[in-house]
Amino acid sequence: MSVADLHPEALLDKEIRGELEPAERERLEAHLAACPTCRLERRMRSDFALELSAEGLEPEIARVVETAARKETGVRVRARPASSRRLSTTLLVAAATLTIVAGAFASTEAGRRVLAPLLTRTAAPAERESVATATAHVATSPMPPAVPTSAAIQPAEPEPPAQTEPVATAPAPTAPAAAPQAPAPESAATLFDSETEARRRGDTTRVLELHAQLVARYPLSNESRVSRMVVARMLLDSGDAAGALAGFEAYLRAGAGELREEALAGRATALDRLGRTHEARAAWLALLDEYPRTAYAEHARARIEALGD
Amino acid sequence: MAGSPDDSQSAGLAAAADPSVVLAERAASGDELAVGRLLRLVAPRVRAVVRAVMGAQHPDCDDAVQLALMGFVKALPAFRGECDPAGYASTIAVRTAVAARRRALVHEGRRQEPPEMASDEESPSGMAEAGRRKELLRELLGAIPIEQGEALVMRIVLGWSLDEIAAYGGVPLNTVRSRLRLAKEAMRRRIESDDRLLEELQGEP
Repeated sequence: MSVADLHPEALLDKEIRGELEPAERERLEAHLAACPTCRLERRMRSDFALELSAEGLEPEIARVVETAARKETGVRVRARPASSRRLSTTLLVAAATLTIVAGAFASTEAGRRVLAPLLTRTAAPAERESVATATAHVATSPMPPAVPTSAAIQPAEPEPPAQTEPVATAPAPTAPAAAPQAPAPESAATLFDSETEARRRGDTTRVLELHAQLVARYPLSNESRVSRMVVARMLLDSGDAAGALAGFEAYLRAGAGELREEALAGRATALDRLGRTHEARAAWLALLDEYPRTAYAEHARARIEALGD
Repeated sequence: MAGSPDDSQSAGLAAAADPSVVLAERAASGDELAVGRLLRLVAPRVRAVVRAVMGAQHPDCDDAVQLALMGFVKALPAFRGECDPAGYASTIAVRTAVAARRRALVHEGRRQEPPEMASDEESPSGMAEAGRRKELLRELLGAIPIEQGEALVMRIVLGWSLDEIAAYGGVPLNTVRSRLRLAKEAMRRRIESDDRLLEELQGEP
């Protein structure tokens, strides 16, 4: 068995978490130099981390499942706007099937009461995983400054009806049993404030949980937009360039925002750190093109020059 | 609406525990609302995993998502609350998607998949290379034993450590190690048979 057959999975994992000691990095680099399989594994993990990190941006399927489940359990959901009615028939069938399967379980009233406080919550294991899986790369440039803060938040826009919690006082007439009253849902502002507080405490896991709740429930709110930036910046600071890139791009995809300049700079930095040279250079150029007098201009020009043609 | 002492105790435990685990336990005990809530929580993850394994444009993708979600609901009574429900669902999604992918390969042959949609921000060349690498993994799933394929997907797509694969998969660590070693051996052979990929990887840091 050659040295290349003993694949150092633990070192690859430590690299992702940014925990490699210098000697370990040396060992890993030596192995990678001789092992195309591990080089491919590393690239693939980064490829798929990017793909999976975008999952939180597509809450439609979750809404489909929940809507169907609520219909089956007699909890009324307010009508969604026409733009969000674009539902896959297949998924609706899946949701209906699932509720039938679920209906095979015995229902417990006590369980519902216990659950009531939780029904307004959506934990974020998926995002936690995306953080764990995204590949961290060696920093190639200093980070641009300007972390967005809550001061940048505008008053919350009206929330899309589809994202709201059930109107708990009005179970459907056909419901077999009255659903318990759900507590008033946390607002986007409350969730964002909690997220900010968790960030100040350095509780990254909690930040990601709250971010996932916020984005899932109020995807179009100003708080969600800013939260995407805050979390992306946090991931960048923690060495998760792939996760950060997904966050900055999500912010930019959401359209015009007061932090667009910072998002462009963050995206360029993340690409830089991922070693995606051509894209990083194009991203820095795009920033200068759109914001010629940006505070990042000097850094952007330096990176453009360093990255070459 | 005053709850019974038992309810209060449960509520206290609920507040202390991971909410998603509590939710899964409630769903497993038959709470329909909890089932709906839990599905909302795991469905995006399940869909993402299935799409990653099968290819987003694969015509059987939606069917596999359905099967995975149904499998998750059916498997809830076996959920012990010792792990993250999304991880539990991901494991089921991997198994469902790997099996579906293999079935598709067997029944349809190795047909050319349509290219994955590129986002506006990605460079065409970077997306093409990433797409090729992903497709290579999907091809491998049809060429190696299913258990090795599942371990490889958990490692590469989900990014799990060997310990996590063992825990979620319910198999000994040495078994995971062995399956991954064999899967990677197949991967190495595949790399060596592809000059273009070999050249691309030689440029890797």
